[in-house]
Amino acid sequence: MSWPAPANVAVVRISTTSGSVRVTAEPGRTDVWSRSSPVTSADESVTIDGGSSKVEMLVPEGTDLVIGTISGKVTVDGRVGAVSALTTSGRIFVDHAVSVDARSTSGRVEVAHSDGECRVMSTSGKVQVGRCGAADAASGAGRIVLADAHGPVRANCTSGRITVSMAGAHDVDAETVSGRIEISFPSGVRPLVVSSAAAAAEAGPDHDCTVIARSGSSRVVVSNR
Amino acid sequence: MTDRHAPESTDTILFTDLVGFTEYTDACGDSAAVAVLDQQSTIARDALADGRGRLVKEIGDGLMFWFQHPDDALRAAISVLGAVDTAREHHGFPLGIRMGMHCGEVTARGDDFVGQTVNIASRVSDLAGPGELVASEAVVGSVGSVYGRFEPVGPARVRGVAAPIWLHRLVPVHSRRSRLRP
Repeated sequence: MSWPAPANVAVVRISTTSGSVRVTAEPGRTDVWSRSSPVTSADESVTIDGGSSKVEMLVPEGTDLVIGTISGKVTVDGRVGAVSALTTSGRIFVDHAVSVDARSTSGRVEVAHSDGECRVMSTSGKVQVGRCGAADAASGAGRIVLADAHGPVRANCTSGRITVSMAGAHDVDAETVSGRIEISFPSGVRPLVVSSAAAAAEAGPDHDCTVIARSGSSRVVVSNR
Repeated sequence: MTDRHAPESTDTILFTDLVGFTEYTDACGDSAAVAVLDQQSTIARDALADGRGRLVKEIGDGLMFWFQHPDDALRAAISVLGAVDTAREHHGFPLGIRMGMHCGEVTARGDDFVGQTVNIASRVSDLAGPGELVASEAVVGSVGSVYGRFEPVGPARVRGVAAPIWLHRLVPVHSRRSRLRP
């Protein structure tokens, strides 16, 4: 059984309680297709309330997604537009989006590629981002990995390690209470490394970008590669 | 799917949480932790100086506030965010704070408040990042825009609540975070 939706859909809103959500953006597709849940369309948006059922959808590339679950896993494959995803205990994975805001209370959050800003948060799970623009990442007990950041980065971790690989001369603000911080820049980039914004403001101009890094009990390592 | 309709009551509950307080206590000891809580209490008192709300209770390192109207709650929340930012920059305050806010009917129980509005506000604060205020759509639809703009975050599902709660994050007019914008 399936429910097709009209073409030219810009935004897909999906909500479940315990059901998992899988959205796949297909090249060339012009309509929205749902395997198991009725699609309600209005203007240029469609809404799916899956309850405790699993939701599987096919959408056109570039579609914006807004997803909320309590415990269901969220998986977004293919190239989509802006993604907002909230879940209490489910894991979130986004393959390739224009921008991402993904938050999980206890599940792992992973974004492979965000063309623009990437805001990711997990209270107790690991946060991992591949290529991104500006990034704002937070984790409670889990590690934060930003593998290829092309914009300013803010990373805040309570007890895990923070690992950031910068693609260029952008500012970094990284803080962890008890974990190690490792930040690397391309060869030739000269970061100013300080422990507060006040110290950064007092520094001279002889640097390409600023790293504010604070770790309560572990080492901070800033390097070129 | 949304909670866009105006709330029947403007009672507003604000929860705050110090990010990493347990780990900080473990690393720095009880005395340092008490100093942080004292500093937070001073910040909270200052934010309530206009008498338009009250601190309901402390829950460990978290605070629960009540306000009669979302505008008052938002004003106080921004005051706390700004004060914590300043304390972190200049006075050695070691931790960030996150906040969640929701408005609707509440039931008084002595000096405390209970009910689904309280439960939702607590859940909303769980989904805020360090230095961030997240508010439900009921709040966002009831406040002015002079304090900043709200960006949509998405729909939060809360156990016991049939409809999703649509959340928004505050982008204050003045924010330490804005330093990191491209």
